[in-house]
Amino acid sequence: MSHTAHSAPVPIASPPGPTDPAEPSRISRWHVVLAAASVVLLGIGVAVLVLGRTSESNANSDRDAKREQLISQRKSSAASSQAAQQRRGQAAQVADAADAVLSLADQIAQNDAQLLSVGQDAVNHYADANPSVYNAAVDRGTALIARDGDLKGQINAALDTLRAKLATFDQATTAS
Amino acid sequence: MSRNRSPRRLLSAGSIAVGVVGVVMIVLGTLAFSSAFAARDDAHRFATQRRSLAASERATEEHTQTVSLQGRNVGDQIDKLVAAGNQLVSGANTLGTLLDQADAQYNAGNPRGAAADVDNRGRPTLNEVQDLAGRESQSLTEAHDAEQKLREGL
Repeated sequence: MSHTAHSAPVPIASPPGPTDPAEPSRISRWHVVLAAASVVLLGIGVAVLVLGRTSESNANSDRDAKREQLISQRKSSAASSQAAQQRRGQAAQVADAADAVLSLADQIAQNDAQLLSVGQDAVNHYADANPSVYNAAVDRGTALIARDGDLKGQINAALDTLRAKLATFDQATTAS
Repeated sequence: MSRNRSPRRLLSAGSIAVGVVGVVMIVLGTLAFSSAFAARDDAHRFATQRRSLAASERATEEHTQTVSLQGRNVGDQIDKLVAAGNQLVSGANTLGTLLDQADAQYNAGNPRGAAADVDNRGRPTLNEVQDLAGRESQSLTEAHDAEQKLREGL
């Protein structure tokens, strides 16, 4: 202990470093690492920014193109929907006109069935000694033929209407 | 003051500045990626909507085409009905003429000849008229079916 107490103090060498005032111009490893890390960080930053901006630009172009396509499709769909609605309206008119014709055709068919029955009676009872059945059949036939003529006049008018509707319908079909 | 401008400090300051610029670039790049993802989502949404609209438009066009075909079919069936009706009228007129001729023959004092005519020519004509009436009835049913289909398609 006495030896230690009397010996001169040993100077402790301070390690070189950023705080070393004795070596202000010396660049430490720490600085090199910091510089390298910064450069790497900058490189990563540049890469991320370039890739990000490129990706953003591409995505924006793609989005704009798809938006344009959607707008165009909307216009096309609206036109198509309008045309379809018009077509349905025309088809409904055709159906209504056909309904009128078919209703009259039903009546004509019923009349024709009765006329057929009258014809059968006339043929089957022509040779009867008593002509009353034949004559009655002829009378009924005359009335039915008159009614048939009336119905045919009506159905011809209905057919004209139907043909006009069909012509408009066909014209629209050709146009579309 | 000269110690503050030492290469070591300049390097430190430069490194930090470059690092900060790098971080800022990374942040900006990330924001750009985020914006790109949002744009891609929008593009995907637009594409989905466009496909949906296109599919809907195709369905509408197909439906319109079906309605057009059914409308034309109604016209065709009614034309057939009219043709069948005209044939029936023609057959019925033939039968009527035949009966008129038989009546004339009967009134002229030849009842047996008239009866024979009605029997020999009237019956086959009547059968033809019955066939024609059957065809007209079938045409009428087909025309009703066509009109019904058109109505259902509207």
